[in-house]
Amino acid sequence: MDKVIEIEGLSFSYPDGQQALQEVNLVVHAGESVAIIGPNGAGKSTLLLHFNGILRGNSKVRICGLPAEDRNLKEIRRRVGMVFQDPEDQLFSPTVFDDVAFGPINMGCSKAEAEKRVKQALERVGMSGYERRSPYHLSVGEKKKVAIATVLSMEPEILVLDEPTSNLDPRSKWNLIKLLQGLCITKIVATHDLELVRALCHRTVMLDHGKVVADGSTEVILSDLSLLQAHGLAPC
Amino acid sequence: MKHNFIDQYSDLDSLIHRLDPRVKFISILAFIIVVVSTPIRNWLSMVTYFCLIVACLVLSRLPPVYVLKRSLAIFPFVLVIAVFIPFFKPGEVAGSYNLWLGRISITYDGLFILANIASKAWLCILALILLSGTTKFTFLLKGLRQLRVPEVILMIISFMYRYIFLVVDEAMRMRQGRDSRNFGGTRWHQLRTIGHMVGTLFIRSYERGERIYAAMVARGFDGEVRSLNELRFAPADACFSFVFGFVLIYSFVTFGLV
Repeated sequence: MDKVIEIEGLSFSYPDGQQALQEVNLVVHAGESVAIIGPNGAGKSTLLLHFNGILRGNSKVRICGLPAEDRNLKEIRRRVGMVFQDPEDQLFSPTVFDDVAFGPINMGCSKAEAEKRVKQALERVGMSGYERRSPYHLSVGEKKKVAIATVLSMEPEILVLDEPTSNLDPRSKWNLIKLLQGLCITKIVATHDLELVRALCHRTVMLDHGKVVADGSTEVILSDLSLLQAHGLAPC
Repeated sequence: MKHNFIDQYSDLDSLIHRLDPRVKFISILAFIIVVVSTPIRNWLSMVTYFCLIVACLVLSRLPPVYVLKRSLAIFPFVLVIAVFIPFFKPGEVAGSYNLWLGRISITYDGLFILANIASKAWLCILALILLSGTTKFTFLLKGLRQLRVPEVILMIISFMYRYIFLVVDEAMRMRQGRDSRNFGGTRWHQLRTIGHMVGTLFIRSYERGERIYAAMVARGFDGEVRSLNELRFAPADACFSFVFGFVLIYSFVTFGLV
């Protein structure tokens, strides 16, 4: 199988000196659906930001075989679709159409091509007909779906989601999980929502204090109660 | 939360709504320049301008009460500025008169100018309401883009339009949080609390800006703004600009020379 993400000995500390990641090793293969779980402040979001080169630590990060360097960033960002936690940050345009078209336009698509991609992306998330709406007026669940559409329109090979189910009621949450299950694409999800992990991901990587503390099949890791308790993911 | 959007009636359909935003923008800008530069004593021109803008407002089918309310809401600002004008006037006219007499004539002159400025301002505000009330904000931005307004300014306006309500919501939530913890104490303490809230709001907005930028970069943004254009200039636009421009210039020239 193709390795789409290869990370070797990645350490990262923020400018204020806070050590966010220490010696992280991670390989993700094409078609996998991987959950990155861990308590608050474990370094999940920081790790995600390395997947498309927004942050760069001290190590070898290769995305789809391309080292994360300046000259490859454009290509890497086309291949890695990143959905941020707060859809308000992701949806910055006056209309839904402008937001979903933002990626394709930046990639240099023609007008017709961009419109086609917007239409398809909105169809895939079940939000057709919302093109002219202002993102401000959508419900949280709708905003999350549109946020996913904004990266699907770039036709990425890897979909990276940060806390996709936060702030959602159970119905919206399960709608979203069904939607994600239906997308045939490599998925990496950072979350501490274990229901989501069980429903969506075959493999789980557990992170705590910036280190990988477990990596294996979801079934094994989520049934290891003492491991979950030790890292704040289950009540003691 | 509920907000009054600047373009809340832009979904109506009328002759004015269907015009190209560029035509509307340029017409309104011309209208404002002509109104402002019309000499003070040309009341006939003023009446013509008023009829012109009222005709457009009627055509636009904007609710009259909404237009009136909105125009009055902006009025206090105009008055605050215009009220000072009579006080500047005496320096130029008075001079040789004694103070008591001088003050009488100043008041008369000043009131005249005040009324004039107020009516001009009101005309301009009506024109701007016509523009903002009949044009979707996004289309106005597109129009401005095609008129070669610098991209940076357009992006700032666009982001402001997108996020201002979010910032207002955030401020409201902070106020609720403050009130539910029984905000009281001395005046100095209250001021300090408000200062902290403003600071927090600033930091949150700043951090949101960073996150938005990350989201833009993640979708291939490299500093250059690209967009799809879909505006076109229709015969109706040409008709409107011709009639509007003709009335404007005709009244300016004819009544101005009397």
